[in-house]
Amino acid sequence: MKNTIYSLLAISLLTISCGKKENNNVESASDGLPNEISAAPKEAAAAKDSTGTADSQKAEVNTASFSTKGIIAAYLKLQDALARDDAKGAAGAGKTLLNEFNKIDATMVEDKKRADYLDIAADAKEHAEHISHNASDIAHQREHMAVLGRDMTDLVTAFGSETKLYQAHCPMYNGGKGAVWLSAGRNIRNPYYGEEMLTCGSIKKEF
Amino acid sequence: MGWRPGKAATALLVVFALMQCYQPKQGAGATEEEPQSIEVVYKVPGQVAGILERSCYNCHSNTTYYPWYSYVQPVGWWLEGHISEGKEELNFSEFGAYSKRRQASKLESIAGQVKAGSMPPESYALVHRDARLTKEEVQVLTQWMQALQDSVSVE
Repeated sequence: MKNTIYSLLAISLLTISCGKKENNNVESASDGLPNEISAAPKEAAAAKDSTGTADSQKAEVNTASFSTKGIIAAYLKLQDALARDDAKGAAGAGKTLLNEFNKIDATMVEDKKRADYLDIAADAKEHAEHISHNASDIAHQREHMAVLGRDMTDLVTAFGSETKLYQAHCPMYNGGKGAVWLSAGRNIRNPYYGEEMLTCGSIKKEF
Repeated sequence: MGWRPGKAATALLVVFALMQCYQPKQGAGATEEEPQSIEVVYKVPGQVAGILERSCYNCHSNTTYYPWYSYVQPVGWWLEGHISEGKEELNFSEFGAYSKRRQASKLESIAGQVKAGSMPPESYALVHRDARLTKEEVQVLTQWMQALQDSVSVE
């Protein structure tokens, strides 16, 4: 019994001393300089980095060129899965889309448009990732799909597509705000409502 | 004397006490001035700012309020994990550093999540009852977010 009491005393002393140390840490952390760079500047730094290495790599990569092909193929799979109300398939396609973006070497994008590309890619990747993580919440996947639709439109507008693409518009989605998506054909297969209103929408643009 | 339940209990207590020595770094990124904070780069009406501070900033800004139990491990480790994840997704203290595209995109996601009732999360609101948003607050917040999103998109 005595032993237990002693050890309890020792433990409480230890705890108190630890607690004190931790307090000092907190103070120095809060009035110190920022010790963590947020996500956005990090990306900017990464962008700068890739710009910096562009010259050294140009010699090797000038035979290959930047293509949106893989990204668009993955996006169309995602679009198809959501139109079929297939949340699991959409999650898988979201992951593929993220991988396709990760495969792209931004140094292959022409200098003038690189910042644009990186901006679109950063946003699109975030949405692709959320879609891949929400295999059990199709409504949430569709919210991200709506913003992704804008990113993809901007991507194709700026960088083109090797295959024919159409931009379709659903006027009802998001409480009447509407949302766009890209489609390989002229037939309407609405990814925002699926079976519920599969043919709701109209073609707005051709690429 | 053979069987002593006290031994096991003491061992557990020692482990618990040792855990206290590993305190995660809290409030990473916090500075007195926050030049990229949403309240600096955009005009945020008082009511909206109040909602943000009360219901969002603990996990989505550099100005987290750490309650006493956040110093008790392993609770603190668990909390810090959630907070850094929250800040990675969205950090109102760094909002101005996002590109216009990402700002618009974040605003849309926030409005969607708040409207759907998935933010603030139920598990958080269970403990922080004052973080809960009333119906009117959801309206005020999402309407403001949408208006800001439209103005950001137009720029």
